[in-house]
Amino acid sequence: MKKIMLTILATVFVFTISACKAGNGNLNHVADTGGVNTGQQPTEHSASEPDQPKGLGAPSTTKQKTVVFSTFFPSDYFKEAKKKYEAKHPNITIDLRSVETDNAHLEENLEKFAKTTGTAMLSGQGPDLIEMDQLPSGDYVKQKLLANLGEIIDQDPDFKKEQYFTNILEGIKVNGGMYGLPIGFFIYGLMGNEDAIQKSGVTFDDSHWSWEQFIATAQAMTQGADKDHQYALGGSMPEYMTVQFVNERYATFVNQEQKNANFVSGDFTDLLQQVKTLFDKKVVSTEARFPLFKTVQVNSPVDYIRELRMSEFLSGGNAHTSKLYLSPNADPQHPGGSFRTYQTIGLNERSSVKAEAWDFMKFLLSDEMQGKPDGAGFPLNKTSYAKKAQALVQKGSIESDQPIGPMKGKSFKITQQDIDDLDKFLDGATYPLQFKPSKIDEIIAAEAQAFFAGQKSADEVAKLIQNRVTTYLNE
Amino acid sequence: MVLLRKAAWTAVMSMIALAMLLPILFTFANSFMTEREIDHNYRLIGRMVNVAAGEKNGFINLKLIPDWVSLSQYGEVLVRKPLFLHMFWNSVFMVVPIIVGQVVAASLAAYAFAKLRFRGREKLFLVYLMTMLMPFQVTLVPNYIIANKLGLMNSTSAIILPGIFSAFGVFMLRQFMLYIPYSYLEAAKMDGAGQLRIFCSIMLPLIKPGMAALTVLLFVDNWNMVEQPLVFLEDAFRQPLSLYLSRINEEARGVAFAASALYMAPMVLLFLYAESYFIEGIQLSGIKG
Amino acid sequence: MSRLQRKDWTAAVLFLAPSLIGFSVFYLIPFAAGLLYSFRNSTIGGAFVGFDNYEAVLSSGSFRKAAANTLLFTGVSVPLIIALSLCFAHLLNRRLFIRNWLQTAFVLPLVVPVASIVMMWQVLFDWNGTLNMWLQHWHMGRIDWMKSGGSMAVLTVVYIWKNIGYNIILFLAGLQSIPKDYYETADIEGASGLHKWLHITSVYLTPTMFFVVLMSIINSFKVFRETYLIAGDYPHDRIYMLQHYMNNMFMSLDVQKLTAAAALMVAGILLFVSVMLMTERRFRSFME
Repeated sequence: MKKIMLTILATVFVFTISACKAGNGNLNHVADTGGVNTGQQPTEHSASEPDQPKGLGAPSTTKQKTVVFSTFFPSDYFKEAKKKYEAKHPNITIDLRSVETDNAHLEENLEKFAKTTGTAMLSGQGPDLIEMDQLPSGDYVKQKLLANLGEIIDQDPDFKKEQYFTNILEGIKVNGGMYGLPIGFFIYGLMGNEDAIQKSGVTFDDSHWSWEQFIATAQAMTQGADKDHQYALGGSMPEYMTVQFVNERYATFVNQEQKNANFVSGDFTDLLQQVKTLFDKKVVSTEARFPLFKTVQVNSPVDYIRELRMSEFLSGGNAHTSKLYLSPNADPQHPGGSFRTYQTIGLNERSSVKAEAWDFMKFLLSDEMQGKPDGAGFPLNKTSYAKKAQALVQKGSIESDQPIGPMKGKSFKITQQDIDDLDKFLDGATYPLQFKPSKIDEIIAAEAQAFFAGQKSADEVAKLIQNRVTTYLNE
Repeated sequence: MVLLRKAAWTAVMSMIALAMLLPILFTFANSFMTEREIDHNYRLIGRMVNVAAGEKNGFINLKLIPDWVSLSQYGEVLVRKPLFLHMFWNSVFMVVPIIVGQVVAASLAAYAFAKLRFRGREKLFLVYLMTMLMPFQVTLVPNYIIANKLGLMNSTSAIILPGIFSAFGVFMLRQFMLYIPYSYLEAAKMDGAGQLRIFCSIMLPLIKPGMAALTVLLFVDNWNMVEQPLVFLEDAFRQPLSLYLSRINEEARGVAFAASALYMAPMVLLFLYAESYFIEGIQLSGIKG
Repeated sequence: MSRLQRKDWTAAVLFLAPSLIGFSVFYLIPFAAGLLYSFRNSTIGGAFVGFDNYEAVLSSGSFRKAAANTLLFTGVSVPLIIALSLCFAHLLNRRLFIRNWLQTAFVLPLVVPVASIVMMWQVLFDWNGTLNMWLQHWHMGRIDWMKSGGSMAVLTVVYIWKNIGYNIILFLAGLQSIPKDYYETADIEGASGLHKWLHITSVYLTPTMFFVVLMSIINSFKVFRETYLIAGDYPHDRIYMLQHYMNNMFMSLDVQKLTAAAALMVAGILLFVSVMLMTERRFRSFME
């Protein structure tokens, strides 16, 4: 028995040593190039003390280095960046990896991506750069697997914060640290029928209103409107409306400290009933023809103009001017508009080529890349955005992208005033929406659906939500 | 009277057997339906029909006889999706080495555990058992580090090697060997046979049925393996068939039945072939106490 | 005797070597490392934290719930499957018509891929499923089976359906390994059927029984894959098992809590296994 115990202990010992070594750098990445590398790594011993601020130093210009960059979806933007960057830095190879998937196998490939990346990172290996959109970035931060880019930025005189949307940079901070930089972002708002709003004479302040205030205001405005115009809000589903309402009064329903939930309560069933009434009374609808407001996601300046001007070309006397308003958001910590980041990239804390990886990241955010007209979302690089916007104003108009229907062939005019309006929204966006909905939101949305479909009672649904959320909170 | 009882028991068992076979019949029957029929029958899975909005409430249509017998699913899977056949062969080339390797390594080790006396035998065996109880996720990270050290990442060896050395075969064959009385071995020892001779000429023939059972169960286990290839094989073209059928969402439903039917085929054949062999093999070997 | 034992020792080393080397690399070391993680605060670097992770796991209400559920599920469904499969094995061991076909029919559920099981499961137990159609036919309300108190019963049915063939194969092999002359001697002595079962069958089935019970426990954990695909990572708390807890810990990269939970679980089963090994040792001394 003793012998066996000794053998086990010995193997464990050997193993821990090798595991520690493995943690100090992924040799194989460098070896991949099979080139000049002599096994010497950039000094990375500080990796084990992640709290200590430090500079990364300049990227190597002579040694062969490979930066592994892993994304879920393949992206042309990254492919092009790789090509350009490698041309400028012949000693550096960007090893771009992505998952090939079709819709039929999307879920299992997502699971595979999450598991593989997680395992690799926990083993001290893993890609040097990772696109975090499909991954639980909060857990990565908790396990200290990602480098704090905030510190790196502070140490790097080349990275000029003011060139970027600083409100977004602030908004994505987690506990004061910044663990990923997005390539772009979207903003969210309510597109309102400005003519009808003016006519109603009701005034309101959209800078920090809650959903309930919004509903009350909009109802006042739509009073007495005809069948087509009686809706206050379009493009919203009851289960997501429920989630929004719950999040507004989060503390009523979820107590993170005590780890208990309070969904089996009059509060919650009333809330469900309230949302249902909004839909039943045709205040809110999933598909209303001419609602007073509709929720919109704005992806780019062009997109903004299209959303804004489209209503002016409606036929049958329905043409009206539109204006973008802020979505209800009563969060005192982040008043203002909501945004969602796109293609957020994290840097592996244990990467052996941190300096090079960071340099490539800066390249991804440089004007050279961000200035391209076809990137998705608003570029994080403000200078690039401003240039794009100016080019549009100079052009004076943009074409409709709809190949058929009433908007076919229409051209929308664009002025400096439009861009100024949009700028306010871009600079005022401080409320980050998570790329992935939280587990609790997911559970509420999934269960509430049965109530709104008329299949289950509010009590039954409340019980199920309570049941599942409690398990989640107590894990 | 005896005949009547035999018939009665046969009838009872047949009824139960039919219930057991229902999901398999279901899969085969549905594999001959067209994609449209399948969509029509099963589109309500996981959906909440919106009665409030006036939609008509309905049920999933469990059907065993196709409206129209069609081979379109098979055509789709075998001809239009080359990946399926490719993954099929990946599975074969993963499972066969695992079975061969494990039967050899495990029968040797099982012999030591069952019939050789050495100190710490029970304890070491307990360690073998312990590893079988550990959930897969626990050893994933260390396994990843080891696979990486050995340069096995993204190669099928990362699946095959651990497959060969799992404790399952050792455990199973040991239990079979416990049935062989020591007297058999003692007799051979008196004749001056070494352990290897005893193992080859006495033990192996006697545990053939156990090995057949092991082969079948190993085949099933490894043919169905999902977790390991998920993490250790990055490239889609190296993955086994089990991953192709690890989940079915709406988009894949149309051809899922034919794919499942083809997936089951090798195992069904193996059962039909091996089962009678090892059940009767045991009777023939006729151990006497 | 001691000379003989030493000879056995060298032979044992040779016989064990191929298996033991591979086993150490791919199972023992990872197992030990996993155990080690449960005492540290990170998989890479990190420090020794004693039993902190265990405390964290034990203080989690969901872990306790999961442990209770798993104990209940395993405690009910494993004895049930053993009893049923032993019963069927006895029946299939009789002279029946089309016996080979019947045996094959019982074993075949093993080959059904996860995806098909899930499909069949949904067809039967979905909100719009066949079972609810029958309920409605009898003018009763629908039941959301997987989100009700009955969900664990559904799990038990699926588990037994899928794994009974596994056990039947093994029991049949076990039953047929029992020397016939024992029964003949007992017959001459005029022993009753029950007496024969208790004193011959049950004794001689010990090694098989040990194997079958342990495999049944392990297989009962594997129903997780299907359950996960049907009900997701946070199902109704009736079917929230240790496997859910551990999988969720893994997905949120909390390997420390995962390994601590697993160690607790394995320790629990190990107690049970030791008892079984002791029973088996009695059988062995009997054979030696």
